[in-house]
Amino acid sequence: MYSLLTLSGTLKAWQTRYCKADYAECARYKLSIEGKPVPLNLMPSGALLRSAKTGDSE
Amino acid sequence: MRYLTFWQGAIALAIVPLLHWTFLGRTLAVSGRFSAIVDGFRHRKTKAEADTPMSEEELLAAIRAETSAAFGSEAIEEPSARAPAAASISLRPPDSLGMHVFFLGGLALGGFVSTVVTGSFVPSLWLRGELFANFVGPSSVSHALVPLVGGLLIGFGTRMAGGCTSGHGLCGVSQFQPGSLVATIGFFGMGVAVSFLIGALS
Repeated sequence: MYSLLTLSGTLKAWQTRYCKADYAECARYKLSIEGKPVPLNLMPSGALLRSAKTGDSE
Repeated sequence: MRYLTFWQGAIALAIVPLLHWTFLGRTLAVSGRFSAIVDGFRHRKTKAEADTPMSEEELLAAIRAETSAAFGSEAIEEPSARAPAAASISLRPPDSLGMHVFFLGGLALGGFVSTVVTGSFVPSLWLRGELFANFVGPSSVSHALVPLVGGLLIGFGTRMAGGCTSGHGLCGVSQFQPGSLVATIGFFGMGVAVSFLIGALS
């Protein structure tokens, strides 16, 4: 996910909001500390990225 | 039994992860495959995971859209100079459960074939070795219990360390990753220390 955010030029905003400011609210962090698999398409906000073919992000 | 010399062993150990990377496009990680099997049984796939994998372009477009919705379009910057390197990271979906089982089964099969070919195959329910036998004594329970507890500790340790001797020792160290170097020093350092301890207690 980190590399994807870098590629898309959006890393800084997510990093500031979820890595530095309030990492405990990061959906990816929450899943990882519960020992659950973290889907590639899960954004730190909890939104799931979907292809335009299968529907919008949640 | 004839063992490989140290340099033959080193070459063989270098070839294995290279072949793994060449044919599977992934870093060799034995404990990671064990974890994947356990996780596969523990967590059923969600609908989102079961969806058709998105292409890189689709993912990037979706991320930009999500970022714009969350922070505004001004939060999207031009991709950094590091982007081309990051792009080389694989977006392929994880291996199937069958692939993990096939790989781990191959390890056991390879060991079996090796012992048969070299004529050293001796069927036994217990670990063999003079040092081990002296340490655990004649009890069958001890012979079963010690490897079981040892295996659990290895599993616990590799999960804590984020990898085992294959992932950290073979692949991580060869990529000059500091964490892997520390982990490998820990693995082998403790192995040497425990072998001396067992020798002293036997």
